[in-house]
Amino acid sequence: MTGRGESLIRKSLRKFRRDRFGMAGLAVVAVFGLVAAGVKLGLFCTLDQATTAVGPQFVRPGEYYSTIKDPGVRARSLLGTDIQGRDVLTKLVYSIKQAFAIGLIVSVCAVLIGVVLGCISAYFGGWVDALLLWVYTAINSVPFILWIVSISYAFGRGFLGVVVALTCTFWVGIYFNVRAEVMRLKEMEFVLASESFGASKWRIIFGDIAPNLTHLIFVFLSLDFIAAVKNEVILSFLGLGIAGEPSWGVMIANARLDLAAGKWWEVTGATVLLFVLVMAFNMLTDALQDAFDPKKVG
Amino acid sequence: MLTYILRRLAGTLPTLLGVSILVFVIFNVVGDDPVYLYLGKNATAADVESMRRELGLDKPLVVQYLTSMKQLVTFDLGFSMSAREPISRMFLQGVGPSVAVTLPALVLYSGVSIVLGLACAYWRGTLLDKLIVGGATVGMALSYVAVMIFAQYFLAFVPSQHGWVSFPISGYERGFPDCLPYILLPNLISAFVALGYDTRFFRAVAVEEMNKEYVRTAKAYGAGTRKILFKHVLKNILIPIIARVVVALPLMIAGSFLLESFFVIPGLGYKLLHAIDSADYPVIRAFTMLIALLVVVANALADILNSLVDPRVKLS
Repeated sequence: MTGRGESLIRKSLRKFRRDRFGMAGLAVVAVFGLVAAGVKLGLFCTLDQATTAVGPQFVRPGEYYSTIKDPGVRARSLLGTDIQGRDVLTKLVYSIKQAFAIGLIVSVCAVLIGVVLGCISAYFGGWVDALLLWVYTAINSVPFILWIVSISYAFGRGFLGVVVALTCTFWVGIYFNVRAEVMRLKEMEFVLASESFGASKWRIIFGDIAPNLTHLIFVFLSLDFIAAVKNEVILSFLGLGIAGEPSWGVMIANARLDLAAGKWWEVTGATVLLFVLVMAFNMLTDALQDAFDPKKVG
Repeated sequence: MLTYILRRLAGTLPTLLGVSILVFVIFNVVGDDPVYLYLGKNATAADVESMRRELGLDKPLVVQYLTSMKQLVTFDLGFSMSAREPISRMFLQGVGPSVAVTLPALVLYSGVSIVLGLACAYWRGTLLDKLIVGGATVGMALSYVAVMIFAQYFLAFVPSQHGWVSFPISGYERGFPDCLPYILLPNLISAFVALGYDTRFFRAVAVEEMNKEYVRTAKAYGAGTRKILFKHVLKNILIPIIARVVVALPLMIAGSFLLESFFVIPGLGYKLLHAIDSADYPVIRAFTMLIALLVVVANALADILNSLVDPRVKLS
């Protein structure tokens, strides 16, 4: 039973709250997010700690070792140390911040660009639309990995290159969806009403039309976030990723030779954390899609 | 029909033009100077100058663009900077291994995921359906890189240490029967990673189809499960299937980049990444452009195939 005049968003939120998988996904994402915020604020696992050796190399998980700071002190390593004697747990936690930095920056930028260009393209039509659609087709008809690899190559390896490469390719997904949706919306009565009141074009686009794109924005933020995190791993593996700081991708890429030598903890830790985050985000995306798609909300 | 095919192929021209302009902008306008990257810090001014002239980088951008287009059209792509090999030959030699690590996987996982998707749709809501969907969701969350590393460790490295029969750890040999042992594991990995996405996709497509009235009618007439699924439903979902396989192509190419570099298979991805490592600018640009070209043409061919399967496509 929905009350009269209940807005679409409220209905969607209610539906979303009832989705157990979606809520579980959200909870896990929230925990990761809090940890990322803690690292960013410098509360624990700072860059310094993540890149400084604490003991001898390749201490196995759960083993005791003499710390470098004070050789008399025996400490227990929870998840072992890597080839340079750095604590794997610290690196893993620090990498959560890296994943969130890349995921947030890329998804927000890509969605912002996609929504603005999609609105402009659909609302104005004409040569602007034709031009943007042409760029969209060109980007979309080539495997993204090719753009990502060549852009991050052109921009130089490192954080900036990764972010620019991913943003430049990801905006097309939401652009096309927004464009189709705005094409539909701009023919509707409420837009006509605003037009007849003499509202400016920009007011109509961002005041009247854009609020109806909430579901697309939510879903694509979630999709792009996770695609960005996964692609960071791929880029790092190919040697085009983040340099100088730990990240799951760098850890997996560096530790692949360790695995053959029986040093399994670093690559396994990064893989498990990555899996949990992606899984939670996938569940969240499914739930968002179910709850916020206006066609499915009763 | 012929006019449709010609029109569709002509439609790829603006796209190709767009792709070529983007590639040119990325490498010639945005990118660092390839000459400095290649020669390093200790190059003399004369070295830089002669290399710039050799690569045609001293000319205006428009001339550079037209030259690169001419090279592409005539397939006379010049020489690689590091290997001194004609790029066109490098490319042609890379196609075989790349196809060998992607095509069998594409056929394998498409077949398996269609069957799983149909099964889920038919026994919708049962334990079987839930198990398959759950498994697919877990599979989607696995990182390609991690799957690759662990598969190589457990399926190739560990068995070979114990002296059991196993997959080769890495490497490649040319020629048909010789390459088989080397491409088995990469194909399995590639199929495994894609399986989750496609099973969920085909399930959604099949569920929609199963709700249609003709299926109910067929059931009412007493048609068997297998007949309904494989004779009627499968035929009707051919279009999304073909579209999906084409959509999968870029994913397969991304995968082949990773697989080739990890298993040291001299395909297109491996060569391109090697060129990136050695700052071999002509190779990077030519390979990017040619792979893009292949994908655009493949997309057009899929559309044509679709119009052969379903005459309605042509009208829209």
